[in-house]
Amino acid sequence: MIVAALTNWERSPKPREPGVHVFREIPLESLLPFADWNYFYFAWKVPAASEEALRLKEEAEEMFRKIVRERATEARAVIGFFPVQRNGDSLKVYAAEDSRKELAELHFLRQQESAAGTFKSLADYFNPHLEDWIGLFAVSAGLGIGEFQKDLEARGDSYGALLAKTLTDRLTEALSEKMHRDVMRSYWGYLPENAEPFGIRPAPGYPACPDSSELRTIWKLLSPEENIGIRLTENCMMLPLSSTSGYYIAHPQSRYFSIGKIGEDQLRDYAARKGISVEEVKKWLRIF
Amino acid sequence: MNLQKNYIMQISKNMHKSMKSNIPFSNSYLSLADLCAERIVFLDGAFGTMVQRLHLTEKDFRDDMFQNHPVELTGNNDVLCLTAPQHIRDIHTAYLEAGADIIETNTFSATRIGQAEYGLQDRAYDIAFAGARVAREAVNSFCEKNGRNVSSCFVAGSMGPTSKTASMSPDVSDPAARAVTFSELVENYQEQARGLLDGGADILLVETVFDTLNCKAALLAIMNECEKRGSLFPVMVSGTITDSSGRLLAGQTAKAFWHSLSSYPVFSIGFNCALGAREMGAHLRDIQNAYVRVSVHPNAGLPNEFGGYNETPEEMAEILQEFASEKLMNIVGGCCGTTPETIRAIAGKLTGISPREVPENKHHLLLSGLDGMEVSRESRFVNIGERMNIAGSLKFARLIREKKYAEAVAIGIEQAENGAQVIDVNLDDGMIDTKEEMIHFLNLIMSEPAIARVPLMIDSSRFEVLLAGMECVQGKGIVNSVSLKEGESIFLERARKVRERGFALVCMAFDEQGQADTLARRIQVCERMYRLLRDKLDFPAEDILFDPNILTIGTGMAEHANYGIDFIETCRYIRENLPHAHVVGGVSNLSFAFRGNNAIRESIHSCFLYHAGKAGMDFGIVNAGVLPAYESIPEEERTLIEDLIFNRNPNATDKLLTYAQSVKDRGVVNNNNADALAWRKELPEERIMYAMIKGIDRYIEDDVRELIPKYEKAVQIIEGPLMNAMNRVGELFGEGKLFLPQVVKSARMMKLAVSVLLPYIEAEKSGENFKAGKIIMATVKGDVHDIGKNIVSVVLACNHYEVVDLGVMVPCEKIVEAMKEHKPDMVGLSGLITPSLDEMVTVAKAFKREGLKTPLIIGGAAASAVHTAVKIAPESDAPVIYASDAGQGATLIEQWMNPSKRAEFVRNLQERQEFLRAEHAKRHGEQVKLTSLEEARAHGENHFNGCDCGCSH
Repeated sequence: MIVAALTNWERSPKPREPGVHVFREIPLESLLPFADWNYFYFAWKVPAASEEALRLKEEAEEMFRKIVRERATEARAVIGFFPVQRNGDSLKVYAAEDSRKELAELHFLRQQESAAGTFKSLADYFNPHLEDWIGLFAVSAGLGIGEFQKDLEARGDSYGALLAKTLTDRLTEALSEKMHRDVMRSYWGYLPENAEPFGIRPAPGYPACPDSSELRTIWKLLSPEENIGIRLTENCMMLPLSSTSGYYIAHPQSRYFSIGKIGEDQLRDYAARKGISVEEVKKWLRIF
Repeated sequence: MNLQKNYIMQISKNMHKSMKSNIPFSNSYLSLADLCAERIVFLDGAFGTMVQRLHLTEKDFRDDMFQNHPVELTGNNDVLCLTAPQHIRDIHTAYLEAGADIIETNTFSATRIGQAEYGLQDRAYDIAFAGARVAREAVNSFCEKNGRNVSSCFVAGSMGPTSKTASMSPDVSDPAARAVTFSELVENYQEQARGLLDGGADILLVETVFDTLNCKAALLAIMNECEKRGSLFPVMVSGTITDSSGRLLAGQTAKAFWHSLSSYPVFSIGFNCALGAREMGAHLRDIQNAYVRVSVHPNAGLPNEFGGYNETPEEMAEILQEFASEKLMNIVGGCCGTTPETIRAIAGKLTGISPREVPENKHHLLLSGLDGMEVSRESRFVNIGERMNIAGSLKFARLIREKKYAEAVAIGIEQAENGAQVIDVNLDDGMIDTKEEMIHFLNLIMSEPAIARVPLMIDSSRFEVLLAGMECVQGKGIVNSVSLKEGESIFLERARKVRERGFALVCMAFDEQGQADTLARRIQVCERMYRLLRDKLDFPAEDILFDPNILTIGTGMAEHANYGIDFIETCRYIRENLPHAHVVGGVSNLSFAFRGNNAIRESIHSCFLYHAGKAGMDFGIVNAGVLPAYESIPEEERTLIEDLIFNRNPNATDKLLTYAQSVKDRGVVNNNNADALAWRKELPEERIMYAMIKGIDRYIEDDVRELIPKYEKAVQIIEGPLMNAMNRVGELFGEGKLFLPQVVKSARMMKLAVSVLLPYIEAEKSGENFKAGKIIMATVKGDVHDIGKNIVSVVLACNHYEVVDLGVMVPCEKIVEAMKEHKPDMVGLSGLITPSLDEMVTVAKAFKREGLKTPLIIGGAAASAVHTAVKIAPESDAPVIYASDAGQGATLIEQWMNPSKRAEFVRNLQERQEFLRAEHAKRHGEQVKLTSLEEARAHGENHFNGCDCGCSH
């Protein structure tokens, strides 16, 4: 049954709870099981299996307890599910409650370099002919951590401040993972019973969709600033820094990949789709 | 019912090994266990709060009994048990009516120490007795009135912490001083326990524990008393976590507290006072693995500004209800600020919620210092630090003999910081009064959190020294050692005393015939000790560590040839046949025959530990941090060593000796590891270098001071040895041989060093500016990432640069403005996100426009050497330098700032950037062959089955 459902994927099922949902005061302890410490060691450039790593982890755990005790940070999330219609390499996004009302358009890039003979784009995970669904999210476990860091800094504990910062980054990533699991099983609920988790959550600014200015569209659709306090700067950076935002794609065959180099033809096409200049596209894609 | 009782008795027996298996449980123990299995049991609330409501006067406190007593008695609530028993009984009755199953006697301070403040020390017993009696009466009449069985309600004899602590010094200038000794406390508590039990208490409640050592004294006193009575009464222990630090006043965490008590036969552990219910949750979760029942009686919230409590009974009950649903407790009540209404509310809300399930004892060895440590079969090998051992360290021996305690303590701190998980203390020496020294020295190190954090191993061949040592330590440590050398009865008596003090025990494989040195003898002696401990004392198996004697191999004598393999086989036997027991050994003895060749010795130790560890040895007295990894030992060497250990080749010793000669000169990084502090013998410059690289900040200030007379000017110390060390740290970091935490720590040390020198530099006033240079740092507009920038700032500041940090999201104009104001030598720009690259170009252009020739240093994840060369450098008239990380940044800046290096530096930089530009242009020209967008789209991936026409087939 499951196999059949996953191989004959026609389109993503309608989410159990379409529209936008806000989560606040998510208990920090609930994130720990989802934390991947390897990235933490990586951030500190410490080999994961070393004694130094053990010590670092102990210090981080102590910092975690301090953060929890002092309520130094709050974890929040906003997610939303919208009906979409694929339009080439873009998706038209409609209102959850009224699928005739167009809200925005999301734009993706396509590989132009490939050994496989096929050229990937995130757009390929959406049915070109039928109404399909996408999820969007913005989460942060770092709301308030800035003050806490400054406090440590003021007391001369720059090490502690760094520790708190890197720890919060991990917690945010853990929150992102936890929310994704919850989305699969409950809020969207596309995961058949007993199936292994599937689906991806690529984030603008990362290899599969390197243009971080697409975050603006997510901000338009989810209002993360009003809802949970994550601000987007003019250069499309999220504040607090420990935040992540991106798309939920349910397709069972969806995978992370890298767009790689793109040609002038796509630059022009993409600029036209977005209604901005080629120069600006280059800026966002760091092409020089 | 009877069946259930039997069942509970079974569980209880498994759960609580009564100290001597012939002490049966008291009736109250069995009925309380029954009740706890059935539901959550309710304790009463505050007593003081209720007494306050009565508005009693000095006359009430004295009554006729103490009419002429010379000291004022108001405030001595406990004395009311004698002088106003009716009031006390009424309070008890009010709590019983509110639904309390257990009422606490009004005897919190009924000890000699507690009553001495009121001149009533000689009435301590009477008060305890009267307190229990009046509570008993209240229970009896309540039960009679309500037609309930008198064994359904319980009197808990309350035993407070006394006003003195055994773990902390009352004198700031003498950390080894103590206001009270362990044995004084035992006497005090035993009198109190006797009074309470004589008066009719069913339970003893050791509460508001802020020092676990006091608590251990109480437990020893209670066990003595139970033994005398031939009946094991239920003992509840309740600690007090003082504040948001999450620790008891004397320093232990919740988990460490549980570990300290884990081998005592306590009925329950938990927390009371100081915190409200909300704040208790985390601590209750910390002890969820405790294999005894858990109790909690919090205050009515945190105190308000008047010292009162605002939380309403309903609010508190609601929080406790949450915890109950989370199955966090078995017994619940209230402390300060709570009243019968509170208990009524709690009982109302929690009735029907099933109690916490007491987990099974997994038989892990639970140790503690101020923090807890758990050793299971899956745990990694535990390193025991051995440098505070008179026999093992000449230096330590000298320091102790000369009473240079501060330096002796420093050795322990160093060890703890270098990763020793248990610290061994051995003061056996013919020259000193070992017992007195042990007491003094342990008191001293217990005041040093860096050491007190880890569990201790108290090590002596004299049992009285071990006994005295255990009575100084609040954590659960290990005693090393006892044996059968003087026969079974002495062995058992000693083991029992260790058990009564809550320690784990090393049993050395030694019996009446001497040291066990063959496989058969080792097994026979260890097995005999195990059986004695288990069968006669019910000693917890997981608290037993065997030391089956690691003896010297490679001596050339045939009878020694099997020492290695026999030890390993003994480990295997113990792990397979003596459940839950552990194996410990001192490794350095093994390779004694190869002394003089540390490289080979370390390899032998490493191979031996590898095999012994696999066979089950899990504790070692070793310098494990400096041993080579087993895999890293050359195969030839490994084979020779293993031939020796396993006695596979009669010529193994000779072969290894020949081989050892050939490698004697090979550079071994840790050749000096025999003494972790050997580096202290080097010149101060060398020491600074070593300490900075290792991040040991203990001595940096002293070392810098030592240099002051050696240099003409203080600033030369910064420019010379300190900068050299810092540069080395930067290089090692750049090479990936040091890690970021260490770099940040070295930077902090540099700060310390500079602060020592600053007054001298000021005083020298040579007129020259000792600043190495001035640097402006900024994260560019639109970007707030500043981790890297902050690290560079710290490193630079410590390298004596004046750093003007403009912060994050700094617009170009502000940087230009700051240039005019500060006239820096260099400007550091940082950015993580891609648009920041453009902003950096903008800054470079602005500099050119303004005629600024100050070099730019470019850093941050967005930047790259290529981008800097291609896009930024051409826009500027001044050098634009890319730095890949903080360490490299500091080194590059140093090169620019050094007049003798600058010209060459700039030439190299330009050459390099020219090369990068050429490469970039070439690659750009080549234009990797890309598929056209049109074609790429035509060959996109089709993830929707069937045809592409939208018919959904």
